[in-house]
Formats: sequence, structure tokens, C-alpha cells
Amino acid sequence: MKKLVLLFAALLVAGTLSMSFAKEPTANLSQYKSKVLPVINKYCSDCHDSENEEGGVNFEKMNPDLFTGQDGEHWEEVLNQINRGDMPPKKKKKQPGASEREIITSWLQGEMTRAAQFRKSTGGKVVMRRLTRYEYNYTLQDLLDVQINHAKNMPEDQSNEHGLQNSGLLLGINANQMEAYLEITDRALKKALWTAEKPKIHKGVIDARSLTKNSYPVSLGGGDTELTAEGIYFTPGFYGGPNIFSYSSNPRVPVRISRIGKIRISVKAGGLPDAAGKMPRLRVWIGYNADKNNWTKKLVGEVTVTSSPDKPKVYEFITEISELPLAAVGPNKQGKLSARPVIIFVGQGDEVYGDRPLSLKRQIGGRGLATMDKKFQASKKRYDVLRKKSQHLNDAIRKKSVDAGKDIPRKPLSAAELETYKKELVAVNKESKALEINSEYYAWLKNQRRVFAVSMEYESPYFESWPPKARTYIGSESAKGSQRAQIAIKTFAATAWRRPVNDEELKPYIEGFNEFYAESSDFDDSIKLTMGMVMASPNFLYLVEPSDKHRALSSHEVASRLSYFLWSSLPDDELRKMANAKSSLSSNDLEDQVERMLSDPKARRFAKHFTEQWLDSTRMEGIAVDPNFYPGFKPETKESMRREPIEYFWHVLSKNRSALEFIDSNYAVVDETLADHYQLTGVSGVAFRAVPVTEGDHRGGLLTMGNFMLGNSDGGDSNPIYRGKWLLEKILDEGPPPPPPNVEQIVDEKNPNFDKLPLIEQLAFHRKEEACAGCHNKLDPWGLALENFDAVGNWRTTASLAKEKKIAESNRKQIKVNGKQTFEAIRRGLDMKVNAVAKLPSGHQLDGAIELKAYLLKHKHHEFSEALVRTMFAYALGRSPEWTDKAEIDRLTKTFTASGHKLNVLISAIVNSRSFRERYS
Amino acid sequence: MKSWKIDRRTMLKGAGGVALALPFLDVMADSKKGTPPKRLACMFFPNGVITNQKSEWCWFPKEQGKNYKLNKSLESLEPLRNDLSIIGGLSHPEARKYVPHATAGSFLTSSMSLSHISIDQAYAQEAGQHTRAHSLILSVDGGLGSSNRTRTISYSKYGQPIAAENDIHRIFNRMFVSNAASKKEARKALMKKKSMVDLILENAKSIDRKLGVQDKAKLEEYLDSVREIERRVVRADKWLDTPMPKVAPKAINLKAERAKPEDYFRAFYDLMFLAFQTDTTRAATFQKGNEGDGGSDDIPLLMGYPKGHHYMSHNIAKHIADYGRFDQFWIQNFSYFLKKLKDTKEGAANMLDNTLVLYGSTTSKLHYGRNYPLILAGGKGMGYKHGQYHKFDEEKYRMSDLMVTMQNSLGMKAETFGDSTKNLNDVFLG
Repeated sequence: MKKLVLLFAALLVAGTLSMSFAKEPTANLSQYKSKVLPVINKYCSDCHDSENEEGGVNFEKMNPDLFTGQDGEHWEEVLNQINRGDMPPKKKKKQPGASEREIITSWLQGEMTRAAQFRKSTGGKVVMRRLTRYEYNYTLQDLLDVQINHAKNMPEDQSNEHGLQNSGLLLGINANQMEAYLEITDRALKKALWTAEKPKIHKGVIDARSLTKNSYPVSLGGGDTELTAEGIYFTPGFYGGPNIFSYSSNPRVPVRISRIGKIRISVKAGGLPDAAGKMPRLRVWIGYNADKNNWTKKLVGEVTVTSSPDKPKVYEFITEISELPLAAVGPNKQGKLSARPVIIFVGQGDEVYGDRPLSLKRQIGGRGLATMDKKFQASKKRYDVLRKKSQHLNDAIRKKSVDAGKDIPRKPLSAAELETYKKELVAVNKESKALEINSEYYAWLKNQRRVFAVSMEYESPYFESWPPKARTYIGSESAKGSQRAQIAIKTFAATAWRRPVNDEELKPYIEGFNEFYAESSDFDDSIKLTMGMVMASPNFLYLVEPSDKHRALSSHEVASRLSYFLWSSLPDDELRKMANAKSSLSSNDLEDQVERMLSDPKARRFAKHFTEQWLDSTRMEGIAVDPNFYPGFKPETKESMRREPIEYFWHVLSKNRSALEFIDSNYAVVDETLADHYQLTGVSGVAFRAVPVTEGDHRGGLLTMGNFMLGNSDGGDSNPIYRGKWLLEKILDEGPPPPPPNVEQIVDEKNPNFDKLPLIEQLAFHRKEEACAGCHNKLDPWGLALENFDAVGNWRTTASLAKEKKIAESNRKQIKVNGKQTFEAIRRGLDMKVNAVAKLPSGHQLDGAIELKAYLLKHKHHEFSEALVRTMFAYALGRSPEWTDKAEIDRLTKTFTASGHKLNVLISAIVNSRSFRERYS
Repeated sequence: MKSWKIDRRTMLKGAGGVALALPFLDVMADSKKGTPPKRLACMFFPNGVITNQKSEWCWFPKEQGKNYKLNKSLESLEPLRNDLSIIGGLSHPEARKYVPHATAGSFLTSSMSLSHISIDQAYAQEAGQHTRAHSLILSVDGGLGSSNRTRTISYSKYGQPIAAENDIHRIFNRMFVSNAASKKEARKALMKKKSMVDLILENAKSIDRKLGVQDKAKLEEYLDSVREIERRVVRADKWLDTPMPKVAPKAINLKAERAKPEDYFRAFYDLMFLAFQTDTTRAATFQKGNEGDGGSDDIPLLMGYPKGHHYMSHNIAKHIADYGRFDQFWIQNFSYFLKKLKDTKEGAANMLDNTLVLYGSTTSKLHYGRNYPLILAGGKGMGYKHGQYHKFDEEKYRMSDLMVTMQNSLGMKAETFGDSTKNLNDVFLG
């Protein structure tokens, strides 16, 4: 890849030297010869000359002319190494003094800045880039208002060396992909255009109060539902099984829905908090009953219920029905085409892990909570009576006599009487036992949060307005044929191509339409095919900025860059109107737009995709949490972990916080699931929100998030190398050296069991061996400082030994603890104390995450800021930053830092930069 | 917009009006001369097997070498033991880093990064030029699936997944049934596609003029992909005029449906068999199920098993006999395929001798992405020697080493495959 970049740079130099500058600056070679070279010769040349060429660096061969030479990237690396203090190596006795270092660095800095300006027309090269898979998807969604995942069958895009997926150079295309585009647009347009006539809308209301115990409810998935006079109460599911109430598998309440388009479901519901005050979550699924016990369904949405049962609120869910499982249409017994009915499931999403009393379905169930309470009190009374009676009977049976009254001898019991007493005791015990279970269950139930549903309403297909968005492009239904098509194609192409279009370039499309139309006489079908063609054009699939010379971008081109930067999609009406009205957009225009666009919900796409790519936060999706180590780990925790960095980024961005809070903060951004996982109290509900944390919570900032701890582990234990590499690459943008090729694994020959040692001990050995130390000393410490976090991001002070882990694993079948087979128990016996002391390459020693964060904030905040700026700059432009961008990135970093590290300031500065608003060829 | 006005017949005869030679006929000539084509079939199954040596359902034999005993799940392979090798110990090192459920896509590519072609497609690049169908890609679920629960095991040369098919009737019709109406329909669809391609190319011209060097290269890549579609259209049109091979309708149960899994799996194998027998294609893949992502995962339920395949694999202690019996069922329909190939004479030998068959999974047992259960069968005509259980040292050998040998025996030129470091010719080729 590096080679390729260099090659391009060379090409560009050759092609653009003719560009006229007012005065062509040249390299300051005299200073190099007189001042810089002597220092290099004194300290560097014994390793970096033609003879040794260590690390591939040879100063004799490197061209000191940064203006026309081709060693710019090498010189930048020299500057970085000296700046970081990596060169000359610490072990060398002969070290340059500060003033000597300064001679090299100041010359390089100056030359690079001047050369960058000189070569501005060659750097800052944005390649005509294809929309990424997710951009293509959002573009279709926004253009056609069909909210399905259009690109789900498209392959992932390759990411570049910084993890960014929108690098123009890498975004390729091939015939299969092209065929996929044709199919996807065809399908999408079919769904989007509907028909000239508005289709029949199916609507229905199902009121829980009208259901009876016999017709319904049906309870699935191990929970209990309670039908009362006011509505239905749900309970949390058992062992991860959600408690589902289905409204419509009952043939008496058939749900008629359209198999295409959106469906709107409104549920009127309230909820009861649990003992800790947490409110329940309401869920809606759609699916069908494949056969007797085989239910297929998919979650439509969930929401935390905030209203109480006596003041129920309406919660609305809108979804594209084609994203959901529907039974296939096929011939029924009578040979007619039919499908099993669609079922809308309404239920509670909370789950209960661990023990809970047996449920005695409907034994308590009465009519409403008040009744239930009354019933409970009554049964408690009865229970007390029964206990007394039981004691009395027991006593009598044991003594074979009964109390006859004060001061009177006990009355003996006859054999027949004794028999009756015994029988009575059995009956009494049975009844009281049942009540005992009942009240235990009831007491448990009182402590649970519960969703209370009153009614459910649906509408299918659902249109926010008619005609649907895609139909508005194709003009009035009364106009006919070719003339209508001309206007339709022009309107549609201008939106899809994100710029005004001229008649000349539309000619093939109009001819195409005429051809299709002549053959089929079907306007809708012909215009659909033609619109598909418009969407197969490079003008749609790529961000095209035609230019063979340096020029300012047009207002439409800037608008497109802006909307793909912040929305991953095409400009909306307002942005397009603005671009139509002006030939170029002023700084003020752009700033206004940035502000507006960041406050639009679509900006969440930016938070998602930028965060995922910047921090590689999706890596953890492919890593399985080892249930042997984390037996209580819940699947939904992983999903919340996946979202945490995105929500955190969104918080910092939308609340205008300092980006240094990515390093450390006095809050965490969590939902209830994650708060439970991190043992933060008082968080209820599915929404992510900032909650204050203290030192003892071990949270704040990105570094200790479960996402990255899991992503950089093997699912069982931590991996300090992965963690160190991640921190270096993502937080500081100091790519660690690549692992040396073909190196045999180095082992401690004195220790035959070396490969069975715990990873951290193997690493300690490698840091001492000279051959390994170079890399391991740079990588390991950053990860070691995070050793207090296990593979799922929980705080720990002891960790299991890798070696013992293996033994335990192979023996676990044989070992039983207290008659019970638990791996957890075995592991506990083999733990060792965690050591999170790390010695950084700079020589600085620190202990644990808190000191690591403090160190980063104090000594590395500039590196972090620059890394973030560089990554966002690259993301905004769709290309890797090159050394010629240094001046621009420095300037952006300064602005960003001066603003108090505000992301919106950085975004505005990038959008207003020349690199963003101009195009170099 | 010139191409709109070209006479359709002229256009479909290709550039300059010269009809291309029909490669299919060359092939027929080939086989008449007595050199039957070499074929490759690869089958994948999900979720792994039972590896507990104490169980009668253990997939791997106890003994290595020639005198191994087939355990219960593999016992239907007994009559074929000299036509196949059982292989243990191999895996893809890159895939070991992932949850094995996410690695079906690496089975035939050795790569998790979507950057490598699968071996069937690599072979089809050459062999597919001579046949009506470039390759046949089947899976019970069809489509692509998601990148971590794939529903296809075939990948293009750019490492992109290629959608698998599962509509048996439709595939059969496409390969073997010719009727005027469907031919007309097909031609119409091709024409439409051709029109679209022309339009795209026409439109791209207007952009071309104004671009810089790098952008031109990007546009060229785009145009290449469009021209490739054009070539596909032209080729498809040629075959439209070549008579379809005649296949007796009872050679396959076209009514087979998922509800009757035995018929259903056999129908997939029959399709592959017929495609090979008629030389409609020489490369086929078949994914027998996905890694617990609904769909085919429920097939055991249809056969009366208590749970889906993925679920049983996670609760193997409880479901060991059920899981074993279902595996036995899968091997039975695999044996059916091998036997059918073996029973069909071809020249002096039989079809199995000219067909290289790979069968396996990227999971040995639950979430364990090493020691893939693999069977390599057939190909004696290409030099294979069979009859043993080979257990390889995973530190020294990778599955891609085996794939190099497969490549070599199929006559492909490349000497490496994916992350291979050597080949296993000495072990398998006589």
C-alpha cells in the first residue's frame, strides 16, 4: 500500500509541475548541507548509511529536497522518530543534545510546511469514490423512503490502514457488484413507487379488556401473563426467555396486513417498577406460527415504559414489514394461495436470571391489582389459620389426646378419632403448603417490574403522506407518456445525482424510456426501469467531481461532501435548495449547515460509522465470550457494549463536551444492561444516558469500556499486546511496527514449559530479550496498565493463570465441587494477583488505568488530539492524509485545541478548510 | 445512443457480427476422444461434529492409517472406503481467531478478510469457460447470509461472496428444460439487460472527458464491470441457441421439499450429479446448513428431533445421540452422491474417479475452529490414493496445503492457495 501511495505521489509531481505559482519556492538545501548534515553524520550515519541501511533508512540516498524529491514520507518519519525520542536509540552512548536535535527538527518542520504549500496541488488528492455499502444503503433509504437494509447482501467494504472504509482508492467495483446494484435498485423502486391509486389500508384495534380467559391470553416463553379487567400484566421472562403475549394467533382476531410497505403499531401501556424503582421494557415483535410449537418472530422495537398503569401512554412502532419474517405464500388444502396469519406479539423484554419461585399460573390471578392484594391478604389469613390448626392436630396425634379445657385432664382419642385427625392433618398440610408457595410467588411478583398493556392498534400499509416520496419524482398522474417521463427523469436525476442535470446527458435515458414504453405500454414499469438506470450511473454510485485542474468545488459538490460526511447520505431538500441558489457556499453558510445537520437525527449515522471505524469497535462482535469464565454473561450485554462507544461519542458531540473526555471523564454513558454489568446503580431503561461515576467505579473515557476490553481479548482472558496495539494505533495514531516476518517464536530455553506460562509472563521475558524488546517495550506497557480489566471489561484484582486454565479445562469433567461440577469454582482456586504496573517507552512508570489516563492527559493530549483530527480529516475527505497535509492538520489541531477540544468546532474547521472546499487534480 | 437501433440479432452475434465459436461443442468432442472432464464438488456442513472418543458417535476414527474403523455416523461410507480419505488436524489459521460460527466463508478460501477467491471459483475460472454454467453454487438456505453467518461458500476473485441458489426446480429448468416460451422470456430479459448496459456505457462517456488521471482509472474499473455484464449477456445468449442436454425427468425428484429432508438433500445432490453428468458445469458447491441462523437450522425439527442443529451442538451432552444420528443422516446422503458417481461409467473408469469431492466443516466441536472434520473423495483418475485416516499436526500443516494439492490435481497452475506454506501431494497423490 505504501508503495502505491508513493507511486501516486510521483505521478502527481510529474503531472502538475507545470501549474503556475506566483513565485515558485525552492528547497533550502544550503542549510541542510551546512547545519543539518553534520549532525546526521555525527549521530545517525553509523547505522543509516549505504553499508548498514538499518530499518531501510539510508541518509546517503535520501533526497533532502522536499519540494521535488520523493523522500517526503521518509523525512516525516525521521522527524517523528526524533520528536518521539525513539532515535537515536536510548542504548547508544552518543546522544545529540537538545540544540542538535533542534537543528534537524526545525529544518525539517520548516521545509515540510513550505513544501506542503508548494505541493498543495499534488497532495490533498481526493479520488472519485464509490459510495460505501452503508452510504449506498442510507442514500436509497433517504431517496426512496424505503427503510429496509438495502445493502444487506452486499459484501463489506475493505478498510484502509486506519480502519476507514470510505477511502476512495480502495473502494472498488466489479461485475457481480454491479449486477447486485441493478437488482437492489429494481427491488427498492418496486417497493417505493407503489401505484397511482392509494392501496387499501388495513386497520384494527385489539383491546385486551375485551379478551376473555378462555379465548386468550396465551403465554409463551416461560413467563406469566395476567389478564385483568383493566388490561394485561406481563412479568419478566425466565432465564432469558422473554415473556410474550400474542394478540392475534387467535383466529377470531385475524390481523390483515400488507406484505409490503410500512406497518404502524401503537400500544397503549403502562408499567410497574420493581423494588429498585426500575421501569419495565415493552417489546413488539412480528412473526408467524410455522407449526404447532414453532414460532418465528423478529423484534420490531422496544421502549422503556414510563407511565403508570392508571395513566397508560401510547407507544408507537413503525417498521418495514419486508424486514420481518412472514410465512411464505403457498397453496392451501383447497389449492388456494394463502399464508399463515401474521402475528403481532406484544410483551415484556426484561429477563430474570437465577432462581425465582415457581409460578402458579392464574391461581393468584384475579381482577386487577387491588383484587390481587385482597386475595393475597385473604390467603395469608387462611394460611395462619391453617398453621394453627396443623399445630393443634399434630399435638393431638402425638399425645393421642386433646385438650379438654382448663384444669381438666386431656381427653384421650379413640382409634377411629385418631384416624380422622390424621386424615385432617394431611388435608390441612396440603392446603397450607399450596398457600405457602402462592404467597412466596406473590411476594416475588410484587418486587418485579411489569408491563401493563391495555390495547394494540395497527395500520398497514402505513403512509405518512400520499403519494409516497418516490412517486413525487414522477410528476402528475394525469400527464401521460413521454412528456411526463422527461420531467420525471430530470427531477429524479437531479436529486439522485445531487446536482443540476442538462438535457444532453439525459438524452440516453429518455430514449431508453421510450424504448421500454414502446414495448410494454406500461408507464410505471418503464419509468421504474429508467430510474434504475439513473441509479446505476457513476453519477449516483460515485461522488464525482470532474476536474482536470485545481479548482474550487461547486456548491453542489461541497453540499454532497458535507452530507456524506455528516449523514452518510445525499443532501436533503434544504441543503439542495441552498446549493441551487448559490454557486459557492460561504463559510457562514457552511457553519450554519454544520450546526443544522449535527442537530438532525441523521447525524447519529456519523457518530456510528465514524466511531466504529476510528476505534475498530465492531471487532468485538466476532469474539465469543467464553461461558466457562463468564457464566453469568448475558447476550444483551454484548449488544449494549457494541453501542457504548457510539453513544459516548454522540454524547460528547451533541452535548458539546471536550474530546479529552474520550481519555477520561467523571461520567459513563450507559443503558440499564450495561450499568448492571459495570455495577453502576440507579440506571433504569433501554436509553443510553450519562451517569456520574467516581474513581471506585473504574469507568470514564474510552479506554476501559467493555467493548475494547473484549475486542482486544480472546474471549477468556485479557491480551495486553492487543490492548497496547489498539491504544497506540487508535488513541495516539502511532502505528506500532508490524510483526517481523518469518521470525520463529522466541522461547526461554532454560524453561521447558515456556509455552505453558501465562501470557503476561511470556511477555515479560520477551521484553528482556533484545530481539523482541524493541517492539514489546513499545506495545506491552500500554496494555499491561489495563490488566485490572478482564476480557468483558469488569474490574478485577485477581486473574487466572493461562497454564492452569488449560489444565482445568481438560480436567473439568472429572472435578466436582460440593458434588456440583463448576468450572468457576476450580478457577477461583488458581487465581493470581493482578499486576498493572507498566514501564512506558519514555521511562515513565505507572500503575493501573487511572494513572494511565492521567499520563495520557498530561503528556499525550497533543498526540491524541492530532490523531483524532487526522482520522476525522481522512473520514471527511475519503482519503488517507498525506505528508503534504501536515500544515493543514497542524492548523486544524490548533483550532480544535484552542476551542477546548470541541468536536463541532473541529467539524466546522474541516468543512471550511481548503482541502474540503477545493479540488486538486 | 446508437446501440438502440442495432438489429437485435446482429448485436447478439457479438462485435462485428461474427458469432463466437460454441465452446460446449468442443467439450463434447473432448469427451468423445476419451478424456473426460475433471470436476470439483465441495460440501460444507455447520456446527461441527462429536469428537468425544468415548462416544460411539465420535466422528473421527480412533486408529490412523489404513486399518481404521468407521464409527456410527460415518458407517455408510464403508463400501466407499477405498475411494476416500478421512482427514483430521487441518484448519485455517486465520479463521481460528474467530468464533467458528462466523467462519463458513473461510472454508474454501482460507481467508476471513474477504480477499481471496474460493477454490471452486478458482477452478471455474478455467473450467467454466467450456460449460453452459460457469459453476453451480447451492445452499439449503440460498443467498449470501450475513458476513458472520454466511449462506454461501463460494467467493469471487475479489473475495466477494457469490449468492447461492436453493430453488431446485428453477435450477433444473434453467439447466435442462428448454421451451420456446422460457427461451423467449430469457432472451427478452437478456435484451433488457443489454439495453441497460448500453445506456450505462453511453452515460459514462459524458463523464469521461472531464476527469483527471486517477479518476479515469476509477471510471475504467466501473466500465470494466459493466462490460463484464455485457460479456455475460452475450455468452448467455449463445447458449440459448445451443440445445439443452436431455435429462430424464425421473432422474431427480423435483417435488422434493424441505419438509421431507431426506428427499430434499438427495435432490440437491442429484442436481450436482446431473450437472456433472451432462457437463453443464464442472465446479459445484453445496452448503448443507447455516451456523444457527434460522432457516435450515430447523431441519432436524422437521425430522422429529427435539431441537435445531445449532441448539443441539450447544447442548451436546444432552443431545449426543440426536446430534450423532443427524450427522449420520447427512453422511448417508453424501454417500448416496458418491455412490451414484461411482456407479456411473465414464470411459474406462467411473465418474467418481474424475470428480474430486471435498466434504467438511470449519468447526470440529462446539466453538472450536481447529481439527476440521474433512473427507476427500474421488479423483482417482487424477492420481489420488485413498483408504486412510490421516491426522495432521496442526502446527505444521494447514487446510490450504491440502487445497494446493487439490489445485495441482485439477491441473491448475498456481502453486499456492491462500495462506498455504506447502502441499500434501506426497500424502494424497500416487
